[in-house]
Amino acid sequence: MSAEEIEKKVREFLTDEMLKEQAAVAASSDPLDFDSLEQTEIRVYLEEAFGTDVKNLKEPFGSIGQIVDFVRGNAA
Amino acid sequence: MIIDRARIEDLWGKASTSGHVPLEAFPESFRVCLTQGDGLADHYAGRTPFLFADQRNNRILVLEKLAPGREPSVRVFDAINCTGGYGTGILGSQVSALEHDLVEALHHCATANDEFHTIERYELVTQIRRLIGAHTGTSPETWEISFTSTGTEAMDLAMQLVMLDGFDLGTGRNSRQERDVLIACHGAWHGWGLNPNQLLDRRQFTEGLPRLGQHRVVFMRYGDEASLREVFELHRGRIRGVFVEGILGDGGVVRGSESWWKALFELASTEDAKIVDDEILTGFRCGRLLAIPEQLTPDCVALGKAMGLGLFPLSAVLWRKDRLHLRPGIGVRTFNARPFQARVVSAGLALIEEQKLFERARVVGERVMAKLQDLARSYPAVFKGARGMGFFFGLELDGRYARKGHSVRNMFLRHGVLTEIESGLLGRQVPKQARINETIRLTPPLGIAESDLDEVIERMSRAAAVLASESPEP
Repeated sequence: MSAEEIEKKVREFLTDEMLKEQAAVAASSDPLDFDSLEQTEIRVYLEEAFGTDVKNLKEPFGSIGQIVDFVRGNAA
Repeated sequence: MIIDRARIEDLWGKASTSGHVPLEAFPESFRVCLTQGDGLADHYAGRTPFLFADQRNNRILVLEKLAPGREPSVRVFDAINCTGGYGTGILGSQVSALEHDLVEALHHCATANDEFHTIERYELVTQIRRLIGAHTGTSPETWEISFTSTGTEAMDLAMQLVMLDGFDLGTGRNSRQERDVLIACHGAWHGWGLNPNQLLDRRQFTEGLPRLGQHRVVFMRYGDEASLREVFELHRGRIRGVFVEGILGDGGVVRGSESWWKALFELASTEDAKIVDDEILTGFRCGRLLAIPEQLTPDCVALGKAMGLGLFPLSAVLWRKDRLHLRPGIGVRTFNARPFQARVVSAGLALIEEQKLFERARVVGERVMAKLQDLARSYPAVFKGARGMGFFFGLELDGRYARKGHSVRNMFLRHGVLTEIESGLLGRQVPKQARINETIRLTPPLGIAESDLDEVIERMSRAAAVLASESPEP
């Protein structure tokens, strides 16, 4: 899956499922504020939607770009 | 006390006009408490900026330090207490009517654990058995009872009763070993302990904590008959127990229909699975003892929160003598309804019966519900709907507030109503159409004046108008 396709799906998840309105308009490097519960939701989503191996995650996600990069680098 | 009574009286005067007080007007210790909090660890990933200084007639004296950048001052206002703290305050400020019993208890009750019998505990046990017998259509003698402190402990004991069902301590054999499936509901909350944690389906709450080795927990959608039948069909012959709330509480104040409950009891009976009815949140406040329909008899009932009248933790586990058995040696707790607690709670339950507060909650609750539904219809940008039972109300949020329960709760408080937040059912474990947004919960005291309830609605309407016209706080 290309980076663009991953980003499109991640944005849809953040806006439609997590109701993060700003995710629809934010640039991929814009900082987004996710609390610890939201971080867990994102990890669960990445596992289910992309089969991402989240065990390698070192830092909490802070932007859409970070999420996309992590998915691309951590296929299960 | 870090602030004297005269100053508190002064603040009540300010609260009537929602006044401001310069921060330096307070004594130093009180300033520290206001600005840095009361010192408790933050279990909430962010505690609120409010300090509750006093309560009278179900109104709390609230102080809020204004945001940095302004002149350091404190806003003082009153809020009608519609929670009692996680739904515990069924009597609200009416607990002062128990003053005589409280003083008597302090002077005369033995400080003793439940290895020894006491008159006070006998009276409380008799009351509760009578009430549960009346609700379930059984004899009071049907029921065994034990007390715990918190609801989490009560659910832990209920789980142990079910998981040990069939286990013979003498031989070490388990005659129901093949029963390895426990059923729980998506979005349910049964407490914050390692055992009850097994019954939660949200990984935000379970990730990083160990899972049960010998049992598997499967989830169904609360109130959904198709989901109920599917889960029973899929695990037929293996189902040991079903854990279900009287009303799905944290999942968004969702009621099960009479037909859903009937089907659940029929399926569990055929399967010989034990039903644990978790009424920790709903007991005593839905216009009757339990939220589940009358004349249904679960194998086990957990009662809590409200039993302590908002004053102290007290919960109870009741189970049918012919269906479940206490393992010798378990259930021992240092604080199992201390005589002091039993005396005060007995007096509280007697007050509820004398003043027919369950009946009142049914009648007045219907009127309040109609008004909350009007409120929800008036502000569709804020609310999706209102639902509940007796004096247990939920206002589901919508639109841009769907996941902004904290900012809505704070807005309600700033307009003078203390409410709470239910998480809803937002995860991907249920299909989109079955999801429930965050929900504001109101659990006013059973004896609160109707004029106060009218004021609650007025204040919430004003808050909703503001919410409808602005964006939520981040």
